[in-house]
Amino acid sequence: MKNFEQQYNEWVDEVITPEEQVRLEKECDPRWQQAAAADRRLGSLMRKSLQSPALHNADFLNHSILETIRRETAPKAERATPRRFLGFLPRPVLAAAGLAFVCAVGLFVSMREPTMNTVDLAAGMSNRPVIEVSNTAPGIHATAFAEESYAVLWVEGMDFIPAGHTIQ
Amino acid sequence: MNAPSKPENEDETSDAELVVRCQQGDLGAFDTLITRHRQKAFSMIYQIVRNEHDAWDLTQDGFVRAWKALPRFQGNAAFYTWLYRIMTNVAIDSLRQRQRRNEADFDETIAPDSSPGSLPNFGPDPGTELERQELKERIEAAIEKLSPDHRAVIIFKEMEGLQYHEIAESIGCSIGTVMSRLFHARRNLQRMLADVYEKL
Repeated sequence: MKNFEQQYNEWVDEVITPEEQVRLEKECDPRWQQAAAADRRLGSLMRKSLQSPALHNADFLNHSILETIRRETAPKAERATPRRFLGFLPRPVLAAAGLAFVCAVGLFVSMREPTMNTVDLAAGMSNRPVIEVSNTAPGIHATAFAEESYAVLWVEGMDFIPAGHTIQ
Repeated sequence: MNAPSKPENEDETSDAELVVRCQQGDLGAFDTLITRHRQKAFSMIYQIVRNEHDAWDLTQDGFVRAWKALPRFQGNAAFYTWLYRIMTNVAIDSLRQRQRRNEADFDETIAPDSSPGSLPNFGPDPGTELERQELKERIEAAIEKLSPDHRAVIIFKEMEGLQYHEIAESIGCSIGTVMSRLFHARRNLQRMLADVYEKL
């Protein structure tokens, strides 16, 4: 069952069935007939006087739309293609794994060289020079230290040792 | 996203086929859809916002939104009604923002009486250009005072010639709601224009 609003609109828009129109005209206040006629007139006036302007720069509209789409979708594509190594893992997981790796390396180094604590290192480096490098230029001083498994050559004031120099 | 491609008989391709290609990322197909529907979309938006520059920008926004929403388009409704719905939402959103700023809303809550009341005497066509211009301005002013929802319905019916079910699909509401809004929009317009037409 149609309500009055629906019947009225169909009446104004002239899509009402003839039977319904007859019944409506018979049952309604005559002022509704005038209202329907006025609404029809209003619609006609709207169509006459409120025409839309033509779309100007229509091709530029296409261009502008497509450029906007390309611009807005490009960053997503760039993010998607060159994925970083293990990039699928969350950052906290990567950070924790990195920290664990550093700790493991530190532990491994400290276990392999138990003599390399600060006390031993200080004692070893302080007073055990074994080789004196002959210096020809003033302001250059070189010292070497040797341990069982390694040797350190300490050169101050010189970027490199010239080929003619020998370490004795 | 694929590079734009345009088959030779692009104009004969149906909207549905172009939509499928768009969903595969073909911007060329979307270019064709824009060309096919841009004037109508612009016209609908213009009739709601009544500003050519705004309508141009909103048409652009509407098509960009449509592209983003295309992956979710199921094809249950015709593409054009789906597109018009997006355009309508863009226009109505814009209008609401503007009206919030202006606080110039007008809907059935202002005019709860549904009786015909004082009817505008439209009479014969106004004879002079001045009268026509005044008539146009008065109608535009009256339409601008309608709520965005009412404005969209009366515009789609009278200006775009859509049928009730097309209006319902374009706006995203039931036919009953369309009928109610159309009825109240007409009542409000008659009320607002009554004094003007009695003088003419």
